[in-house]
Amino acid sequence: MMEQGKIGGVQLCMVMYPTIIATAILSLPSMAAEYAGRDMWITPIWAFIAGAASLLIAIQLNKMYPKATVIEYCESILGKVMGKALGFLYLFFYIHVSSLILKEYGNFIIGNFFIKTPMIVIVASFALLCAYTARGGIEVVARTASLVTPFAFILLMSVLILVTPELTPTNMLPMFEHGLMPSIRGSLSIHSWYSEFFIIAFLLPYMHNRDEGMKAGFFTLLAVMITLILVNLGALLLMGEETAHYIYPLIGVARTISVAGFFQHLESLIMVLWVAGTFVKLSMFLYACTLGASQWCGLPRYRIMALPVGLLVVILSQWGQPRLQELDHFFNTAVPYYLLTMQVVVPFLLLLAALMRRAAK
Amino acid sequence: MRLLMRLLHKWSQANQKNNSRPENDKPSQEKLTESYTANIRMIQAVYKQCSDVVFRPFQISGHINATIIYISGLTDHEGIGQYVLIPLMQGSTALDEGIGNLVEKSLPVSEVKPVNTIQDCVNHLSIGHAVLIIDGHRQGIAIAITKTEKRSVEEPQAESVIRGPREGFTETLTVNLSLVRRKIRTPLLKTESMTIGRYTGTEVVLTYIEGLVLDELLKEVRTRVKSIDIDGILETSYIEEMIEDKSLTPFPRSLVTERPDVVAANLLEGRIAIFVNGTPFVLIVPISFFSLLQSPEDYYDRYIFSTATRWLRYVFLAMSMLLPSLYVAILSYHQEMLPASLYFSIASSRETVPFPAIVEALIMEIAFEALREAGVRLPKQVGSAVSIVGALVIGQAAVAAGIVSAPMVMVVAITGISSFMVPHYAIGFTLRIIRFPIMLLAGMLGLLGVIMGILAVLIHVCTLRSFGVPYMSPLATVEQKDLKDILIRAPWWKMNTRPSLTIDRNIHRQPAARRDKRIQDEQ
Repeated sequence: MMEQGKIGGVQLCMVMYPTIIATAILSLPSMAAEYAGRDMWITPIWAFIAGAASLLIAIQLNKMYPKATVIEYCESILGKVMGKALGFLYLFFYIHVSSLILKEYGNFIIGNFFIKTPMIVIVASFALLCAYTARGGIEVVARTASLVTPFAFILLMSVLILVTPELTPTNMLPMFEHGLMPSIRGSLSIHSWYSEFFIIAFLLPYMHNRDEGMKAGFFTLLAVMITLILVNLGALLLMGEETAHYIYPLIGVARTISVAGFFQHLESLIMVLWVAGTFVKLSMFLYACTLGASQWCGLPRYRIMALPVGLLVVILSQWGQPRLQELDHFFNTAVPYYLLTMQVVVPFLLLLAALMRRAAK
Repeated sequence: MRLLMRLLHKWSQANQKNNSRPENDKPSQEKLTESYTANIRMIQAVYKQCSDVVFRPFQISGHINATIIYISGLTDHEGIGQYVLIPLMQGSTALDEGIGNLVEKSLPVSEVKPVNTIQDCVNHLSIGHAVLIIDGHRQGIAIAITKTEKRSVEEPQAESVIRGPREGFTETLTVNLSLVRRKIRTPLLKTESMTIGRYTGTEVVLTYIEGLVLDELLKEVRTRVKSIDIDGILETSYIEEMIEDKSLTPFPRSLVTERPDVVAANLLEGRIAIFVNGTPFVLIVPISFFSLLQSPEDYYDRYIFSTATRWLRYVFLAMSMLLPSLYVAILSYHQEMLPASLYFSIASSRETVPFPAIVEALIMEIAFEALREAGVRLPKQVGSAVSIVGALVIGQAAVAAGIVSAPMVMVVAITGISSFMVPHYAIGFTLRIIRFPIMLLAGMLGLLGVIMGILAVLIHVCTLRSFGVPYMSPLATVEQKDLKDILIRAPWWKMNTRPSLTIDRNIHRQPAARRDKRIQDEQ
């Protein structure tokens, strides 16, 4: 096996938690508010369905092929040619999603903090860091995540706690004004975010104990849901339906914090928290790309693939959607279907094929 | 990168060609013969031009020729006279029954060994034994009457504690081993001795507790230490650098201590201690990053106090690495984070300063490092003068002249103090070095630079290993059982298990149910 490392259940949580929420906490509240309005805080609960589906599919597939990642069992299920083709598709998908994460990161940093710095400096330096982590393998990804995630979590929670004096709970009312539909419609983008749980398929083969993987996965799903509800509530209670007009509502939340007249304007804290979270997320995605690419090519080791894949992601992130508005439009229209297809529908078909294959035997 | 590797490879190959060992650096394996004069001549040839080697010819019982050889200064003069020369010269030993009889009846010395080769003789002479060569015998006798010049056991300078034992190691290996043996009396405490150093022949001892240490780990350490082939070992640092996992890093991967109690505690956690003759510093492997942050006193004070101290240490540790960078970042990029009144007072004190914050910080930090180094190197009396002149006079004058701002002086001073809070000197040095690149990043990218710098350091330490143990364990590997000695210092009645990464059997320190039982008894 190419990857020699092993990780534990808690480490799995530490990797998966920021892998889902890092980008979600920034832009999701406004996406959810656009359709769901005052009911936006319910959207993470609906999205539980997509998360649980992709998680269950990944776990079922892992049960049938315990030592293989997606790229590997595609071949076992669909045969050499079809398997390689689907493997390539997945590889391309994960590289593309990584580039989207990187682009989001670049836009956020440039737009809010470093207006005059060239995008490529910000993006490339960050990708280099993440590629360096991915190069170290699953254990390094898990260990850095275990150190960074608690720190980011504490920062996020302290921002949410510090803002409580400014909140107006009546912003929530009236609930379900137009029935459940708006919140279901608004949960579409969150569904797609939750479907990223499918990346757990790259971690499950390297668990010390597979039963722990399932438990840790669902625990993470629950934690993600609660965190997103809290973030959405924070934005809603502070800004009401105005949330939809902010690009990054959490920045607005941090800006209003004022404790004892001393801690004010904590947007930079949001940056720190977000960089830390996105670091884990991109590291995980780059690791999946690196490992997948090496498995697809049949290389003996994956370390050498990390930097080339990182470079590819940097270049890809500079193509298409040059402006934030276009990126936003892309996220609101195409991305949900794109992510859900690749991470729920196709894996589900794969699982069906695998089951049929087993039944045929 | 590849070019560099190729160059290195070529260079090491070229080196190997010239690597034939210098000849005659070891005396011959020749055996002692029956010819008395030939034996003496051979030993004399080995020790030619060594004025400190004494050959004292005499006659046993007035008729058998013999010579006692020793190195003056290493061997006890009076002892030789009293326990070797007097009994042999005045006694009436017959040597017909062989050397054994002589040893049994006429040599009142406890440790005596026969020697057969010239090499044996040299080995014994060099550690301070006397060698007796007798006419007509193929064997010599090595007599252990060593005199050692030794420092008395004192309180270690670098690791002092308020509560806890005050003894420290000395330069003498036997004393050091005895200090540990006094604390751990079990015969399972093993001391494996080996000699390293072609010229120095330094005695190196691996110490561990059988049944606690992992077999693979012991084997690995043993082979790594044995594979050292160098002209001399003068300090444990030689061994430290030769056996650590190869990687370019400022982080120390082994613990160096002067305290027997620290060695004993680590042995009980399944680690291996490496003693080297001639230095009070003992090497402990394998360790994790957190071993370097633990002071022996953490375990001697009450646990609540120890936990608080530990967290204070963690906070100031982060400060020593980050404070100047944070100051530079906030002042240059994120002024809005400061309350207006504070920002105005800083700005007014910076009004006359001609440099940007990053340059100011770099100048001050480098000046501080220079002061620190000068304080260590200079004789003690001058050292205090330097620190007074440096810190007070220059600092005061620089602020008054408007070259640096007063807040910056404060920041540098706090950073300096925090870096001295680290219980082990080595890791404090590492953090002070890392501070500079992070400071540059802060100057370029503000808080983003700082967080990227921290992430880079984190990734780096997460890839490190010390003899197979992940460097950031148990925090980064989330070994829940071991966190009781990292995030807090659990009370001793809760310290039920040994660290799981260096131990795989015999895990329990004490019966787990002890505390529960005590509570039941009280009820």
